[in-house]
Amino acid sequence: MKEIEKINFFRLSENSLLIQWPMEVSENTLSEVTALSTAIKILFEGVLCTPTYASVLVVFPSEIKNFTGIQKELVTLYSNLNPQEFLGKHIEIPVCYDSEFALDAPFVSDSLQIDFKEIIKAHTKPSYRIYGIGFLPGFMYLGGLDNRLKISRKQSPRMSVAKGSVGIAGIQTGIYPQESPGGWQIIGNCPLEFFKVNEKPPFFASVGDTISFVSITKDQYKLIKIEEEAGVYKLKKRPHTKAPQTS
Amino acid sequence: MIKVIETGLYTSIQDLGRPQWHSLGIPNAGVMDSHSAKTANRLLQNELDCSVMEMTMTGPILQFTTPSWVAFSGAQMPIYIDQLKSPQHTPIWVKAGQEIRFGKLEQGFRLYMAIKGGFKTSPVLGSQSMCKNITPSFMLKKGMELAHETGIKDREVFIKTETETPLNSKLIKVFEGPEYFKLSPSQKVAIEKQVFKVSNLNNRMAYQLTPSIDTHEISQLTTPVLPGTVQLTPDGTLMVLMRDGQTTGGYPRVLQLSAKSINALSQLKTGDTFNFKLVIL
Repeated sequence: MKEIEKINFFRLSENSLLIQWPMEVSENTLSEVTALSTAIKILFEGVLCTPTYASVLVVFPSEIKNFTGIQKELVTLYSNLNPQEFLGKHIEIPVCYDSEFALDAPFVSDSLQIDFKEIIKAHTKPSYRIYGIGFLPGFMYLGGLDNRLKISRKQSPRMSVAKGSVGIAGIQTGIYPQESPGGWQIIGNCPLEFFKVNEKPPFFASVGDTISFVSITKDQYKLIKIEEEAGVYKLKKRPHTKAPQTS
Repeated sequence: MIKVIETGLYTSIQDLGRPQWHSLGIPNAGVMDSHSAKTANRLLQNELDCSVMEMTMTGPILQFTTPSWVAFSGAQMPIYIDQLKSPQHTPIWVKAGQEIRFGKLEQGFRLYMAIKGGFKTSPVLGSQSMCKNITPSFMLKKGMELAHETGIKDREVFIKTETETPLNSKLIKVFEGPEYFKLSPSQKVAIEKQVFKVSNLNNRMAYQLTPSIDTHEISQLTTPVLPGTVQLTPDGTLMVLMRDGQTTGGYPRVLQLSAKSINALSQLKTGDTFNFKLVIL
């Protein structure tokens, strides 16, 4: 049963509002966030929703004239919400952990006192939930990193981190979808083209989906890179059939 | 075609951007001062979302190889068609072979040139707005040729319009942001009383303001942001996200600019000062 008191509404600008849950990283909250966001897009035409962790940004095509009325409609929508509204999908992301790409492997191994092979195992085991997409086009905020891989950011950030770099920092892991400055510890590289402006949608994942990393060899990396350039690489994905377990 | 002979400081083609891709982390982009851009389009009876040329501080030199109607609105800088000084807010017929150049900036920061029917550059993700990492180039390059409809000189009827975007705004209207309530009383007072200056860190992504206000240790999850969202960094710097800004952020969102104030701030440049005026939404 959903508790109406849990969420609140905040008018952000003339044509936008935020629906906010208590600020916490929780699968349960995220499943409500993504389900409500999906339902809103169906109910209101031309409305844009950005779900992120514990809030949904709702942008209307024009100025909101009746904030109270819209709030009421959203509360009703929330009370009748079916958590199955958004089930999302699971995507397998190939990553090459070869020393050519894993620039910080020696440092990470040393400071965590874990053999790099074990680090790869720990990094490829979980199913990571996408809690947000932002910072850069196609950058995924992922939850679910193995606690043993918790590590500080680099003392001084790199001026340039290669496109596709897979990094860890704090309790986070992620992929740089394009070349960018960055301070995460780099442990591998993903050969995928993250952002395809000529495809709709231009990015393969949505908030609420899950991903896992699959370790590949350098040869497989080269092959996937070629297949991606030719536009023939088939991303491995499967739909989820039920919402995340509520705790 | 319009040939770019000189680019100016930062000249780009912009329409109203690509807001529909916000949830994938793609910046809105689009004209910084949407009011002036729409005014320029209105003068030519264009659709209001037609792409226009946005010029920043110094104008380009443009050579027309085909004729068309153009109209200007926004920052004040002298506009010369060949040697002839031409006014803003009036449709101007430019003949094939003529050159447009611009004099020194007098007031404001960004000037818009609309062209009859808009520019015919290729859209990316539903918009012609140039934006770093999204479109092949994020500003005009020397030698570039821009396609447009060839205009017809006779039988054109145009409306005269006045611009409403202030070019030297001293008051920027803001609403309380979602984390405004987390501010200390002294931070709130500073926001209302302090005169803020646009620092040299200002561009299409964000405007950083000086002086900073009190530092804070508010830590929070990543949340969605929009153009006009004002973030407060831990060292007390107020950062106003603009049209090319990121779509999510980890800093407290203390204020939100009104739609008109985003346009007004877009016309302010390094060193310009203003006060925030908190209004109820």
